[in-house]
Amino acid sequence: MMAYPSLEMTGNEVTIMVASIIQHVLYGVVTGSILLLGTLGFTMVERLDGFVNISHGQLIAIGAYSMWLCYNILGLNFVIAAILAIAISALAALLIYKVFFKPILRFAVVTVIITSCGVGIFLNGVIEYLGGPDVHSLGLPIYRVAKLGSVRLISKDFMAVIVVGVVSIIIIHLFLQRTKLGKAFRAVSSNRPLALTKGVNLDSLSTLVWLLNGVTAGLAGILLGVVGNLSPDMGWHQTMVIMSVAVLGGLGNIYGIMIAAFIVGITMDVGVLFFPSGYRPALAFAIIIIGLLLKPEGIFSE
Amino acid sequence: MSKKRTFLTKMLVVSLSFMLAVGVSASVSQAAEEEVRIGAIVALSGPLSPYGPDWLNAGELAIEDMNRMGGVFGRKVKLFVEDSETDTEEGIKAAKKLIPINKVIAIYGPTSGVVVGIMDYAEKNKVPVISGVSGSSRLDKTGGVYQYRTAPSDSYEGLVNGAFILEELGVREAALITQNDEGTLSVARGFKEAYEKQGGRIVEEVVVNAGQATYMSSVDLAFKSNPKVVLVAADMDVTSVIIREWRRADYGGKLVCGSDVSDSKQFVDLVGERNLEGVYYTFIASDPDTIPFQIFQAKFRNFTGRELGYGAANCYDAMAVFLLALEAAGEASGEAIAENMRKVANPPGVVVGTIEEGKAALMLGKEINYEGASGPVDFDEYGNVAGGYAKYVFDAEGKGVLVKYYPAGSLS
Amino acid sequence: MEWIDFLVAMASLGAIYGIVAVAYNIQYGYTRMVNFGTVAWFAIGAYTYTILTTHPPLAEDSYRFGLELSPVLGVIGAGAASGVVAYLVGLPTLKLKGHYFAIVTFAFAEIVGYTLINERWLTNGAVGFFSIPQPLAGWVSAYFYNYLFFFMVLGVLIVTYFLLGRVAKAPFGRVLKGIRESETVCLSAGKKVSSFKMKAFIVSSIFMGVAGALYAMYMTLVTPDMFNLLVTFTVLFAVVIGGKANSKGVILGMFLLVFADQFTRFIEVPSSYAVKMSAIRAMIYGLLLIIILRFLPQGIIKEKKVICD
Repeated sequence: MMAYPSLEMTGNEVTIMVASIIQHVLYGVVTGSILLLGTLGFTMVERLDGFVNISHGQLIAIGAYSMWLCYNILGLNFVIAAILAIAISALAALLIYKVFFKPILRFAVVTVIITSCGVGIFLNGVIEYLGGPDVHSLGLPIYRVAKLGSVRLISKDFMAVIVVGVVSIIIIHLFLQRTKLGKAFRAVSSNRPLALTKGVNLDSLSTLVWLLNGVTAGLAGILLGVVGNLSPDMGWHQTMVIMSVAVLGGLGNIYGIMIAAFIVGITMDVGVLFFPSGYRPALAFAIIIIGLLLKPEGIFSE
Repeated sequence: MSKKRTFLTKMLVVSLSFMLAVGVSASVSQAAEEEVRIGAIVALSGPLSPYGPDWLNAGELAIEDMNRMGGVFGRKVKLFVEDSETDTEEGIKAAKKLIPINKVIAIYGPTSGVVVGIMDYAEKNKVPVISGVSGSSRLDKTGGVYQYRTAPSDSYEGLVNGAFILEELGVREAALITQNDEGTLSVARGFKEAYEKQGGRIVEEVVVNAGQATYMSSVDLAFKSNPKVVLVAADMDVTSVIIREWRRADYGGKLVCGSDVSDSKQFVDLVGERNLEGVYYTFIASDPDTIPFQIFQAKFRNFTGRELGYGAANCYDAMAVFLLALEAAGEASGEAIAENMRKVANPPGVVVGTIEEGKAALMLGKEINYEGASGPVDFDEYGNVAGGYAKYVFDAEGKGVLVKYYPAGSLS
Repeated sequence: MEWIDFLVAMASLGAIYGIVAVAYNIQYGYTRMVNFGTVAWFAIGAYTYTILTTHPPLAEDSYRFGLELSPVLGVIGAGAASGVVAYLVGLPTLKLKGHYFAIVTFAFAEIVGYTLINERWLTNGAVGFFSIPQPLAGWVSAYFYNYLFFFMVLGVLIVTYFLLGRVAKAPFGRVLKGIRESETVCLSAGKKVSSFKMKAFIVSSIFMGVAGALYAMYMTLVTPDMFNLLVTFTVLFAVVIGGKANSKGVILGMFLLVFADQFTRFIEVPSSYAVKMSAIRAMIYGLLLIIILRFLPQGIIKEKKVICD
């Protein structure tokens, strides 16, 4: 474990420490980009349909496995495979909504949440059945890290992840501010009864939101496949951290989520420099707790 | 509404009870008097799932070898298989089904966590447990009457890693990346003790958890002080990502991996065969020059269509010893197996290398000493065996090349 | 008749989880406190019992405390520890609203999980403890102990059911139900909501801790990975399936779940399919849950309506 900063450090040591921190911040941005995409859909569903979807992580896994199917098994070109995988995730999300959730939205919220637990377990079983219990890799080539002197920066593929994250933010922002459905979503999200009286078509909005949910989650899954491996349980692993991002950002506040995702990512990756590394995921949870205790409505709630 | 509710409720309860009853009666009614029943609790899903099928097949192969000669004292052996999901609680539930319901007289194949969980229960029911893959150092000083293993203890692996890094690689300062799981922690602990005792120094110790999205920051931390060697004690999934990170960031130095990885197709595919060059790994090795090993290797290839992987030889020997003990005992009970384990596995006796030879010798009334595919298989008082380890390095095509073989007991 | 042994063993597990479920019902069914960290109190109970009753550390152990006290003291300690933790956690969090309380308790459970793995001096890390003493084990043979243990656990379940049932019928319980229906109304009726919630939280956590101790006895070993999210889910499922605020239904729901989970073991399949069984089991379990909630959203046994007074 790295030593805590202290007054006796030499100039050289300080440089090294600063360089480490910069590096780890970069890693955090990569992690944050993936988290952002993973959490967006979760938040939108919570805002629109009013429940915390515990099965959300499985959509991410579906995205990753679809990519594996298209890129590794069918051997398609990377970009085409990615587009196809995203399409599959979007359709899967819509299907899941129509079959499992739409019929029960009129029930108590807690019932819906627990149904989502059941859906999560079910989907996890399906993924394990179809994809096998073993771990897989997309088998992408490895790009070397660019260096600035002795400071390591980042490799091309990880850079691409960040770019995807940033581009997504821009697209989502444009969607929310410029398109009709985006504005409708914001209206329903902040004041549902009022929006309804203004004639917002909930049905087509739901369809769109769930498709978007599938798109963002699927993309997050693909990115996870780029930086790591695929396993049947990968969905569950993501769910926990996503919930912390969602809470920190204020459940339902899209812009809050964007900031929160990077805060969580950077905290986890810089945190290992100062805290025992075995607790890295726990840092995400500590953030939630501290955040909620300080401001029970969520840091960025409207 | 309430009539519908009561009806639905009753339907639910009735159908569940029905399923349970059918299931239970189906398995109980299959009790054929002449079979000898052995239970297998194997990790078919969960983190160790890539190895599970090999372990299961090795055991099945041993049983087939014995059954081909008419079984044990004229009775065929039947294997009842349960998935432990690499999970202790599931393993316990599996044992609680296998022993009273399927009436197995012995249990084969669990990983360390499950062995620890079922040891007491199995012993109370006089059911011996043996495994070719339960290497945790927790089991070093337990068992011995109803608990055996043909897998060497992780503590020896630690010695081997320490000696290898110090003597073969000539490196006195190393860093350590460990996964926060019992098996990998025990390997890391063993290494630390051995390495420091022999004069080495651990400059950085990083702990990682399974299921993290990225491992970059942890790998970076390990290489912070530019160690020449980093020991990675993690499962296949995590190790593969760590190796890719190491390549990506071009840290230099060498990576030495534990025994969870090998040049199996699955691992090589995970990492990418061009990324493996120069990475060292450990293999629990039988001496590949012995005849029993070569015979088993060929048989396994024939039986499964695959090359044998980690643990297969040890598992085969585990089942073989059980079967030979049964044959020697002439009686189908767990107690009888337990009483005869050392008689068939340890000296003195005619040395036999295969089940066929062993059975033939026993039928001629001789005492035997089974020395099998994985090694001499001689149990100490705690049911442990000494084992050999080999250090391999990956070449440019992702194939393992032997660097050094440490036979059982060569380091102390 | 040996399959009765298996049934008894499974029923013991069902009873242990049943205790947690009945206790959880007090929080959720009565007060609508959605606690997503149930497993934390269960684990605290199990580990406290273990640390209090296991033998002092041997050379190869990493932990430092093994007090070798009697099982009774172990159980009392388990309940007490859980209660204390409930108090500490409840102080800052009980005022949070539904969603947020759920997430905070969930986060707390995760942190407890990581602590169990990392703080080896206390918990022996990922290795855990094994050969945990079972009370009265010396009295009967191994075969009969299965039954003796079952009756012990059943006894505790019955006691829990009646004790907490009394709580529910008493004015205290009606206040809790009232809090569930409408906190504002109860506040205006002059009831001090926060102290009721805290008392309910502490009392139910004590029982969860006791159940945890029983679990440690049943398994004879504790490792951090045994205490995962699935435990919390299972309890939640039992309570929702069984019907809110309805202890009988909750217990029935729990036994149903435990048996449903295990019955797939009995379908004999060729070993090449055994690999797929755990996936199939997950699919069936998930579908079962979805279907039950779809058609019986109020739970299997409906509760009687009572108005806050």
